[in-house]
Amino acid sequence: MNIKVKLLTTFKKYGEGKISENGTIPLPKGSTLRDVLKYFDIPLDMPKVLLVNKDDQQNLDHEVNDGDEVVVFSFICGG
Amino acid sequence: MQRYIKNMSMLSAEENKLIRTKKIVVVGCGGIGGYIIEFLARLGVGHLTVIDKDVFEESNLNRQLLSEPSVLGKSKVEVAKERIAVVNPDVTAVPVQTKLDRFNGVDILKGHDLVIDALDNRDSRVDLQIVAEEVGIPMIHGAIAGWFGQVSTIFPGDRTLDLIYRYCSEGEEKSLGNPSFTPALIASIQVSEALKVMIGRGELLRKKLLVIDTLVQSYEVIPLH
Repeated sequence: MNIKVKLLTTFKKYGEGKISENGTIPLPKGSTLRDVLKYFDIPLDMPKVLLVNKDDQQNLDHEVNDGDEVVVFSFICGG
Repeated sequence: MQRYIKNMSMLSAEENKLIRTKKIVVVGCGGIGGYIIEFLARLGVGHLTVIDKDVFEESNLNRQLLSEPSVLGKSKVEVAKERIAVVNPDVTAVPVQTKLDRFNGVDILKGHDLVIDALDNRDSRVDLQIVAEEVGIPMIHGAIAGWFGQVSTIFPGDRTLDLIYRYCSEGEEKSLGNPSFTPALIASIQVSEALKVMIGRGELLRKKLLVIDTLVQSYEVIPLH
């Protein structure tokens, strides 16, 4: 199955050369959000905003499905 | 009025008059807030209430527009009031030197048309979202961390911050710091959102988060539920 992934800010570098031109990555059926992060070697304990299909999802055991969209970016709160 | 002649091509005469009647609260007079106050005063918004509990410190000088060596130790809101009077004497400025929270927030925000978030931490922003919803006014959110920044326009009931601030307590600005240019960039976008809310025209960043990375110049609008 294919998962659409957008890595932004500090997380952009983890995606270099790993995301297809149409913005997807291939993962086996039954993969979880943890598998998505592992695919990119993103440290699991690194603070981050994780969105799956426009909603926040911090449960790394959350199962992702074909066509899902995952967005990862920094927690930003300075002023 | 000659002062606003350069506003006239993008705003109608009615819209120019309309913003003169608007009352905005700016919460935070630091990095982002200093620019927001400058932009709103020059735009000709009629009334600005400016909130901040702090005084200027030396570490503010790298980015905070209202700071300069001569005002170190001086209340940020008093400096903001003086700056507004210098930039545009038509604007009524009300300084409130306090920390806005869930308890005093309603009294501070009521009677205003919208509030702009120029805060520097998660908890205060979550409080502001609650209070703005209680008062029933839109909140224009903006935040920065190093090369990065984000903006969203939050109407009562949207609770956008619940999606992006639920799990973390400390942002990347703690490790990256804040330079001189991201506050101005984020403030500019927030003021454009505020103007569109005031005149009821254009497309807002509502239920969307604009995430900016100036290191690679990427501007991504992330749709949110």
